[in-house]
Amino acid sequence: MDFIENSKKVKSLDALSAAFQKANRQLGFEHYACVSSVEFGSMPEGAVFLADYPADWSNYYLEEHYGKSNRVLQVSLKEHMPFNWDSSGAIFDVQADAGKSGADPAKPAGLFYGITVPVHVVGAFPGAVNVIGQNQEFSPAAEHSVHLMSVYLHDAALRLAKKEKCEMRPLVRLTPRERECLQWVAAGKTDWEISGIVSIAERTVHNHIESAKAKLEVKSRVQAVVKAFLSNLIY
Amino acid sequence: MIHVVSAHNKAEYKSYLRQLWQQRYDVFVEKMGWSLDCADGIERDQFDRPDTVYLLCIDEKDRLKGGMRLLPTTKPHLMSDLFPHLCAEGVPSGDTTWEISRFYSLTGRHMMLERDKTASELICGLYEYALMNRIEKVSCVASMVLFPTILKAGWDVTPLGLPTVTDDEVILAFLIDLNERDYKTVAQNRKITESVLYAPNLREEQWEIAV
Repeated sequence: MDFIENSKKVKSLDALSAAFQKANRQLGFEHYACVSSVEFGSMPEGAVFLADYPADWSNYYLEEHYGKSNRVLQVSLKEHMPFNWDSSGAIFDVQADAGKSGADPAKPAGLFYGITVPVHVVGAFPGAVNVIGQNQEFSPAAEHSVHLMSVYLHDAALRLAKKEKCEMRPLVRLTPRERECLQWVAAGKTDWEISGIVSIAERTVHNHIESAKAKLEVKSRVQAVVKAFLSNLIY
Repeated sequence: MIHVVSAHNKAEYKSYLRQLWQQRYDVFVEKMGWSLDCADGIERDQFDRPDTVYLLCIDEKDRLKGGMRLLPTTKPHLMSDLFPHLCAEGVPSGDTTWEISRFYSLTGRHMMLERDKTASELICGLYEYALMNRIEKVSCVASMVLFPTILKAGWDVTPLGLPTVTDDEVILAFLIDLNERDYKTVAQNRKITESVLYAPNLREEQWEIAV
């Protein structure tokens, strides 16, 4: 309940994130993400993106997860109430795949369990808060606490974002083509394959990706995909 | 305009109160599907008493557009009789704490949205009424589905306990602190610039004081 009082007082998104993470840890979870369900790559006013995910997750997302995380969000659009990743058949694969992404698949360390709390506010983008940890069992009380905290987190994030009138993250704007090409790079396609899919010249594909790399200030394609994913530019 | 209806002016609002029972039936029984024990088409319960206060939103064409019910927490109210289990540290009560229930706006899908004028007037009317009558806090029970939207109004909302599953619905008890500072923010958010309370008597009094 400390978090709820904090969420009313915090002055910055960073402080909000830290306060949530502290309470989240006390409940036995490790990471969280608070997102608005908006078109990927765009970050319109009134949308939120706040997260504390480990850095090496980017690889995991790239290799296994990028399509499925989307599924979690899709389920959250239909649901009003929090759901446990265990109880929802549609996203069961997430855990199976999560096992592969761990440093050592034999260790349960790579397995994550979580709760998704859909947050629907009339007049705002539908949002969701995911909390993730390694414990498979959480008490109903912890689940209810997460639910309540998530609603406050989302509300405070919206309010702070509006007040600060700043972007939730340093925003890089990609053109639709750049995004499209990068999306296919993330799917493991070569320039030649992408040129066929998108029906543009191979050289043009290359230019789009180079331009996206420059905008993202990275050297390699892998870095570009990772950074674009983490910035919510691709999924 | 928000009309405050209580024991002393009830007689003047007979037809509106009749509409209120009907609208409450449409909203809470028909639309929300609450299993309330009531006669067909009329939703009225043991808490609609002589000491109950109603804030009614009546538009310029004299149509009832929405309302809410206020109960003193010093007497039996919903929280004390039906939902005490939702409060982790006891049911809040006292002279300066009232309870709101049966809040609705007929503006339908714009419910609680900033541009829903009825909800805006009801919320600002509640602040005005509370500030004038030394009501500092109001308690309320709502579904967790609606809670994010309630929170977004910009007022100071504190949960009284954890969300609880009741009747296949997850509900939460909370307390709203009705202070002057938040009133300004809330009114600004909803673009309400002047008093929404319909109060002919009050204007007379003010005039007398002015003289």
